[in-house]
Amino acid sequence: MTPSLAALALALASALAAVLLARDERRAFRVATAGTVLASAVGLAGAAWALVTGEVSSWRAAWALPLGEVHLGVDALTAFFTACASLVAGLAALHGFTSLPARSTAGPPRLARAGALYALTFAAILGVLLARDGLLFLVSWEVMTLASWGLVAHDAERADARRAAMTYLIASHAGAAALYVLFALLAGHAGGYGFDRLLAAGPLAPALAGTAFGLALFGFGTKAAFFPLHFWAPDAYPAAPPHAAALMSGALSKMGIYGLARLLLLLGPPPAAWGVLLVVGGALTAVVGALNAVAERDLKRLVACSSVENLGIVALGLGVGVLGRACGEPDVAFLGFAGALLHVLGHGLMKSLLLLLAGDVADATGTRDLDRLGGLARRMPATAGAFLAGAVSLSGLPPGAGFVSEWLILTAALHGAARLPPGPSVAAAGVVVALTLAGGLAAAAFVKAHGVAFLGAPRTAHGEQAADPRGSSRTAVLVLVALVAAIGLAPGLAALIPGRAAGLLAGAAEAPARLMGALVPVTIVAWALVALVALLALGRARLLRGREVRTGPVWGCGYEALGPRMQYTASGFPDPAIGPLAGVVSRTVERERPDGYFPAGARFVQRHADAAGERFVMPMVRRFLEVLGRVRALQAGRLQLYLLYVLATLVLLLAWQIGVAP
Amino acid sequence: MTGSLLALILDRVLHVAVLLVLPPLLPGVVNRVKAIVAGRRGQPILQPYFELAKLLRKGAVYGHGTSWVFRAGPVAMVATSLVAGLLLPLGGRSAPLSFAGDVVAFAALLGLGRFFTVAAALDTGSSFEGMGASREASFGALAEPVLFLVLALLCVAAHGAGFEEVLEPVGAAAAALTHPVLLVAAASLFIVLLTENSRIPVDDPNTHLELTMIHEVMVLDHGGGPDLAFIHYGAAVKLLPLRGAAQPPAPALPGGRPGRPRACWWRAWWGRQWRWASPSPRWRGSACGACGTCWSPPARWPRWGWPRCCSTGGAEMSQLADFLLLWVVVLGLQAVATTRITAAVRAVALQGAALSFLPFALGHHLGALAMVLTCAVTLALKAVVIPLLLSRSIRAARVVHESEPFVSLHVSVMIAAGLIALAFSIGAQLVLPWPAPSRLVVPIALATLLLGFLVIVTRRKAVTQVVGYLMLENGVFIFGQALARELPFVVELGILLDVLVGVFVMGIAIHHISREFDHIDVDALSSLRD
Repeated sequence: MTPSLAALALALASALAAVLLARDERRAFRVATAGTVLASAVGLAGAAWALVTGEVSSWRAAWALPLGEVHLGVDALTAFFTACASLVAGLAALHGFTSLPARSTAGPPRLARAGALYALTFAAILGVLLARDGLLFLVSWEVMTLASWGLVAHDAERADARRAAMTYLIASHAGAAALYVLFALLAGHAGGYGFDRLLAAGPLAPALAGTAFGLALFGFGTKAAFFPLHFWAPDAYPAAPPHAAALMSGALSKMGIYGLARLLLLLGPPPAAWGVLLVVGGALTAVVGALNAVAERDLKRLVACSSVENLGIVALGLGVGVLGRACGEPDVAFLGFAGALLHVLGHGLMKSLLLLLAGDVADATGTRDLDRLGGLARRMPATAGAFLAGAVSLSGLPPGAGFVSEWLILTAALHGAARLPPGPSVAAAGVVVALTLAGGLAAAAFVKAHGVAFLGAPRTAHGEQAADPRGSSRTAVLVLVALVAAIGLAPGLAALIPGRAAGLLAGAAEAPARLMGALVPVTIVAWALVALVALLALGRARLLRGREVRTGPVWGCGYEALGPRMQYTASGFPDPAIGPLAGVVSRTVERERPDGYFPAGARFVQRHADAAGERFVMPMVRRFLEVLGRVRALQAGRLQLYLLYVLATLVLLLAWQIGVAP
Repeated sequence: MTGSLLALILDRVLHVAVLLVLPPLLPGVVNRVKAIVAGRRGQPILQPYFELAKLLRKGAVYGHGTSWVFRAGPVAMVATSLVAGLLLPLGGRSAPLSFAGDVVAFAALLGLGRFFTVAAALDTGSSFEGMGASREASFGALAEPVLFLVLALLCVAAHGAGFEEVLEPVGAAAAALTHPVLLVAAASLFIVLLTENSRIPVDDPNTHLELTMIHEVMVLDHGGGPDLAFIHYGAAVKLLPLRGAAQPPAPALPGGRPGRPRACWWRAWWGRQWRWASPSPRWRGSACGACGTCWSPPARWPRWGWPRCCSTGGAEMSQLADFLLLWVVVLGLQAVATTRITAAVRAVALQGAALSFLPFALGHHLGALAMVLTCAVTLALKAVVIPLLLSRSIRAARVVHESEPFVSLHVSVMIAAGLIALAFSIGAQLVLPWPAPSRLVVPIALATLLLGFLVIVTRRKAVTQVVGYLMLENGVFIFGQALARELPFVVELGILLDVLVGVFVMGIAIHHISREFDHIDVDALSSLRD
């Protein structure tokens, strides 16, 4: 308990320090960031201790919130998520330590503000994780949202950043509104906001529990960017500075998952219908996210879309776990939950890695447009290599971290398809299909991102001056790559990290050891692969020793004058994949055909947009704004009118007091 | 104890040795058989080994400006396919590495190989290679879920999640599989259609290059030396596991994997199986046993009821009937899914051929003469005479494609899948006067009927509509089989005669219409209504 409190205090102190030192921007930023790194190290140590020992403890402060109380606690779930968030927050802060001051921006650097908001976001995340009281949870949640909103709006000079921040704020508050209702409902049942009271009050009536779960899915799903509430994510992550984007995607969005998991613990044994709901939502999220990622040609947005996809995969894992729990299949439940949680950890690391690298590329070349990049592997070899590692892993391929968690979820789903009763088994089979479709599309998206940005020849002059980042940025990237590889190469050990938490969710105690056993063959596969690759590479080097090795022109169907502009582009590459699924990704094409015998010019521009956002969410928002517009008539700006409202309210209240209440 | 351990170790070593040594033999056999079928002598069966040996002794040429990723491609390809091979049971023996969830690892390994192949192709910066890379990535992304759908369904049927469980007890669970397999057939067909949508009419020899581009294009820039050897060897290794992996769900599993195997599967699918000595699982087993029986005893694949001996009793018979019925519905889907009118006619002819064996397979108690007569007449009319008549009308009217159907092909296949599902749900509720000879008869009769209607409703060309009409009749025929005790075969034969006359009339009408109007679009006829 103490390290977690210390981490929270340190993070808050760092935020405060940045505010106090704000006169010297750089110093304030350095102090706050170093403080955040320290706080995350302390938080990680505490979480690791709790994970090893299985510590369950709580702490109540002397002073009370109105209606609630300051009640913090640590258990396996909190410890696991604290470990994930601390790792991501610490490493991203380390990256930001050198990368943010080196960034060239249109407006003032705002370093102190960024440092303070980053530390505050981290503190709020810890607060959400530690809170054992509904109100405290909501307060932390709001602080987290507002502080991260400040990070999204960092480059406030740019119109797209302002718009992204506004979308993020509105979406977050729509979600938070559902959470208020949720906790009020639960408090009504338990007679107070404390989680312990809720547990003591016993199980909810099925209808109430269902309503609560629906509200949670909406509220937490907005933060986790579940379809169709994901529309803010592809705008918000790229708008924030890279290290803040990594924090948001790697740690903050996982708070939605934490909320769902916490609620599953609080609401008692779930019915199978919740699992089906999670599976359907997760499947849509994963596939839509992956499709948008494939279609995207903006490097940062592509990575952000993949974030949506991966949260969908986590939801699929949770769904399988809930199905297993509801149908009395502890193995299926445990594997599903373990996969989901391990994906939370793995995705946190991989996604922060890729967001940081995408930020490095954008900062080094001055563009995020893949179609203007190319051949960067020569200028930024370390970045290219690290991106490849992250891309392979995020595509769910061995020997990366993504493979292990997706393997767990898929195996759970296959077991589920075999063992669950007919309805849930179909849902489990659906998980298999959705996950593999999303995985295949993600692989296409990332091989495209890597291939177009780093391989081939440069398409434009962007990136002529590019170079690998140095200093703490490089350290952070290296550590992230090492961690991702470590999970992939020692999956049995890595699975111990979420083991306890997954056992808690699945209601199975001795499960972690068995999980390790199940992952032994996966370890063998990973090492066999690595060994074979090494062997073959050595063999080829040996075969080629002393023989002629030269370079020649590449095959161009007989055409020798291939230019860099003739390479496949990021817009053209995914065309066969999204063609048949075009309904999900809305595509606009502007073209001027070459005309006549001596054509003067021709143009072809193809843009993709998220169809879910364009066709589903935006019309709804517009409709909602129309309704609100009518309400606005109430606010006419006249003092007399407002006084009239006050009077009317008073009269109504009086009448109600006299007439209705005895 | 030590003896069995020794045997186990020996078994594993043998497995690895087979995995390492045998793969290049497979393309050798395939090429040889291809050549023989095409009337040539062909290369020596061991030719791939000679080529590999030669390549391994050569130096290397790399494209200008390529990076280490380009060199990593071949290595990754061999490594992934070899490790994937370790996960697969081979020739009835369990795999060296066998565990729950090995299927997932298998697919992921092949995915990794694809990832690096595509990355290597993009590294060349050539637009030609980019095209191959784009296709490879896209098809891979779309084929993988189909593969997994099949695997998931097999898990449902086999109550297990590893290759061992999935591949072995399916025979017992075959009855439970009949519904899912239809879905699989529909889904894989859908994938095939996606490829057609990408302008790859698979069996058009002129566009042969377009097809092979997926794989061959990415080989091109590995200019000789160990890298090219790795690629050839890796492709061969991939062929071997796929051959095993694609075995159990014989009717409709695509070799949905990169490059060659998939391509060959399409070729096989689109009705020219006999022409390509295709390494696709389906046809290797039956059409060219030369390579199909090499390291997997044929005893493993008849779990779909391939008639080893048609007189071994009721269970076998019913399996044969199920097998025929599955083909009926698959062919019906093909008729819905193709734009080429000849292909539709061929599909319906094959459907008729399959149907003609149905009375026999269902084991109706007819006299031997009556049985032979019925089968022979049905076969002659449905599979030969009527299709020939139709082909003649097609030639006379000079139509090739069903241009602009009212409903696009994708949509009509989806509708077809929906109709099949509907047929199954209705078929399950329909009460017959006595139990049907096979669970599949009624649903598939309804499905064929509905598909026939679908073709009639959605197509413009008169010939295709006749095809739909024939499918409708086939449905009625199957339904008649379910009620054979009610409906004497004489009546069925009478109906058949009616159909023949009907087709005659239509053929003549089509001929005349096309002579008068220069086309046979039926919606143009609506202007004649008053």
